[in-house]
Amino acid sequence: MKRKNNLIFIAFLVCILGICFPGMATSEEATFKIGNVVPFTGYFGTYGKDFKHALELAVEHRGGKLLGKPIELIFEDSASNPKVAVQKTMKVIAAGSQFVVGAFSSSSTLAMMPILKRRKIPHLSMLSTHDDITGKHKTRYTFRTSTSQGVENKIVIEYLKSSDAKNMYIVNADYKLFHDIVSDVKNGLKGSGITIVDTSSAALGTKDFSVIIEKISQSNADTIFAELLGNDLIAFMKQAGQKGLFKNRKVVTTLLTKDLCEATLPYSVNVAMTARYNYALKTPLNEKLIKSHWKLYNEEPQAPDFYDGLTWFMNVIEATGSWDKEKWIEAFEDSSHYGVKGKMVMNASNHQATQDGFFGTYTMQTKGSKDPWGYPTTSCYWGLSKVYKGKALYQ
Amino acid sequence: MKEKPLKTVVIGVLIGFVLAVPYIGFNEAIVYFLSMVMIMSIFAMGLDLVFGVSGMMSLGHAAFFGIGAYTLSILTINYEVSFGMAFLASGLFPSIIATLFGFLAVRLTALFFALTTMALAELIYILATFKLRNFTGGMDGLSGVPRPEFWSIDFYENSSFYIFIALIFFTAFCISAVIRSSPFGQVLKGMRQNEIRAEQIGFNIKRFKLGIFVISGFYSGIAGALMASLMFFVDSGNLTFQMSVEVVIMVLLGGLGTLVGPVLGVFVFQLLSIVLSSYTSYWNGIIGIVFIVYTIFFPTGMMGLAKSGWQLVAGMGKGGKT
Amino acid sequence: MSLFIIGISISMILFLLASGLTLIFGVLRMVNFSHGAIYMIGAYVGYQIFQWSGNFWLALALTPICVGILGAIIEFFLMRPIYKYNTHSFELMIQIGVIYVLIDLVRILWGDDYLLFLKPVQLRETIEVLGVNLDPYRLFIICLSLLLALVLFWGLEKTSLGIAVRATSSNPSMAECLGINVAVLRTSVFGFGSALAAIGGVVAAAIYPIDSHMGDHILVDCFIVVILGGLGNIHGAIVGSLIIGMTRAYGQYYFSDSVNILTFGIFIVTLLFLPEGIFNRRGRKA
Repeated sequence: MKRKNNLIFIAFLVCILGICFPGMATSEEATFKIGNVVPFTGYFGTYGKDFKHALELAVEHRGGKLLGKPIELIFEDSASNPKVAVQKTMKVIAAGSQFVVGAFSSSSTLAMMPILKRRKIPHLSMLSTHDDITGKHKTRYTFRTSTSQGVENKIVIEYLKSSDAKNMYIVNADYKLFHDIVSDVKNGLKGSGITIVDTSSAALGTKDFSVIIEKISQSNADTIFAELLGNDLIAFMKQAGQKGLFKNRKVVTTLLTKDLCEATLPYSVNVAMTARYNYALKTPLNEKLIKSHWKLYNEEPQAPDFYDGLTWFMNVIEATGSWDKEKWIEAFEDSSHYGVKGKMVMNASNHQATQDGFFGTYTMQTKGSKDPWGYPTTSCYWGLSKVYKGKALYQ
Repeated sequence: MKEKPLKTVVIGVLIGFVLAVPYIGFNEAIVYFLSMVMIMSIFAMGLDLVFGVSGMMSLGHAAFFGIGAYTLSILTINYEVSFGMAFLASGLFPSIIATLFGFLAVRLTALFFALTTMALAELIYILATFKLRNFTGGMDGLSGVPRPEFWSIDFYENSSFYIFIALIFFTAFCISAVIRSSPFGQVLKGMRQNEIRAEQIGFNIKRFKLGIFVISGFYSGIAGALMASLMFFVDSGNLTFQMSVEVVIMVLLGGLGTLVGPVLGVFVFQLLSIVLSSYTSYWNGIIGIVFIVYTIFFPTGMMGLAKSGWQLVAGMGKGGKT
Repeated sequence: MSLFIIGISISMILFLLASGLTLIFGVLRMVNFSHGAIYMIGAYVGYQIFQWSGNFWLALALTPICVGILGAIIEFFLMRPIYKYNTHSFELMIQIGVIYVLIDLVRILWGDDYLLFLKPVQLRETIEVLGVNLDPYRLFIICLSLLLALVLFWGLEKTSLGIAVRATSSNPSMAECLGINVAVLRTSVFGFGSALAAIGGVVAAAIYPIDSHMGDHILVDCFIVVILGGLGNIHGAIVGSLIIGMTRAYGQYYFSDSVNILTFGIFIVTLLFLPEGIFNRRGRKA
């Protein structure tokens, strides 16, 4: 009996050796490796391929080379799970990545940060909005080129103050990030003349909003602030729209992305939303991105933040002319970028890029209409109504 | 008699090899991977004590794992308790909760017990993610979980932490072996086979069930704590039903009720997940197929396979006797 | 009043799933964890038929047939080989495998994007009844489910097939002795239960978002209902669905923070004190 167990253990060992032999080989720096830990499966899995396309385009647009070596993009699936994200980070570090991009959800990004700090590897975060990333938990090695949640909230507050909203009902996902958003907004609206009628929170994954919708329709709210994520937002919009809840009420949100808008037509028309990107903005880099993306994928760029952030950092690295990562960090801290959103300036103290914020409304397009660049529009079109200048937002 | 020295040598070589891994040229990702495998193996061994040895299927073991992870994190981050004390607490607190599960095990039959454990674990998950979110960080989790600090060893170096984990793993493994072959373990096995008979013989079934649950909770709790420390991070993903089901499957894959089975099952499952996920984003589906094929064709798990394989080889040597 | 209708309609969707689950338990003695995934497949197949034909009613009619056959195939090839082991753990492992495979299958066939599925034209506008605005689609859900419930009850009591099902539920070996082909019955019941879940999926797809994980969330509530009502007990399933559906609706209205805890609390208390369910006379040991 015991002999068998011994032999099993030896077999176990052989298995380890089997996978380890590749691990024992050391790789030379024949290429410039960039590790990308983004979700291809799980709750945020639908975005992975968009991120991949954006990153690949950024590389292609600089001829595929950095510091004289061909760029190799390594992609690993974070599975929308912080534990997996950390594991994959270790994997791309071991594969020789010069710097790491990722993840998408803030909790995954926050989990990756200590490891990258430990190993002194620069980390680029795009689209994770948690304030802590460049706030409480900021590190020397992590940079964020996209906007933070605090700034998005500011934009919403400014918009609400300048609108004719009087009574607002808040619906939010029962998730710490959203509770923080709601309290931020509530604080910002104090003394503004806008009354918060009531707040309802719904567990993530709620399908049935009929009760909340009932409550809203019985209240005197003229504005609805809906901070729900993904499918939950779709469910809310569909069910509320069908009940006619939006007939005399305005919906404000920071989370109704284009694909969600399309999935909830016609109820998503006139929804007011903050955006990190203004598709119609005419800058040289934006034009380049838009034209390439349409050519390759026959649709608008889905993840312009990823394209922009990576382009910026690669430009910074190239300008240093060196393989010394510390030099990259110093240079990045002191840099600015004129990208797809206009001017962005890196803040050296917290590694957050200041940038303009956008606010706008969705309209429904008829078939055959064209967007400002001449391409056919999709049924949902987000049109800019106001720009909030970066300087004022990031004070 | 001849077997004993051979066995000791082999085991010694194995332990030596595992401990040497970070220092003989394996890259850091492998060290990290093996750290994780050992941690999950401790968890799986804990589950197997209740499931394989004692015959009670629990679908809520992630509760202990998660509570252990949170205990370590909250105590060290928010209350600045030393790692050692927090680590101990992360084993003790879940084992106290485990006595609750043990009480239920006594009152309920197999299926209802499994479903109750599932419900209880879900409840704990909901509490941790929503109600207690100020305490636990909710779905965002808590960052900054520290590594141990003693004897001026830098445990932030993954290789050093790997040794720490490995030593705990080997200790847990030996204790598990001891439990299995002890009189206590024999009663549990008897209880698994026929609870009524065991009770008739005169054993106090309640005490045994409670006892093994306490031990199992401790194992799962310290595994959770080690995981949190490894990742410097904890979130409520450790408490989900998916986690509970995965650890049950890992034990089944490896061979229910065997000593080495849980470890093998964890290793294979984790390896498959990592390797497959770099080839396709449909790796979950492939793993699902593996489960189905496995259960239909190899229900005794990998240990069963190995045993049959061994018997085949042994049989051939002895002139075809099976 | 609206809240009441909402509560009942939630209950009815739950009932569609719970009745299938409880039937499957009664006849196959198996807790079908993959039931949620079957519901999900129902939603996707319904969506697809709607895309091809533009007709909601056609989707509603065809989907249960397709998914019922799928369910029967799953039972025949995947579940039968493991009955001989008589342990729940193997069934669990196969069912989890089925869930993973179905989810990725759905992702391969329909991608990861959000799908748009609309209510049938006839049922979109709110109607006014006695001064109250009602949602006709929810009324439709309630009527359809009640109809199916009546058919189920009548079928179980009055038809020979129903009697065979009840006989096999209470004593399979005896039923076999009496000439009932238990194996075929098992496959049929699994298929039928899957068909019921699929109807739930199609009906829900028009108001809830369709995604590959929609089965996970509803499955838990489903278990609670089935245990409350008694495993294998269809009458119990109706009452259980009503309790949980109403709890969800009124709970969300009055204590939205604690709805989940309330629901799980009920579940645990029931498991501890009334594991046979509210309605079963005899204890049902599993």
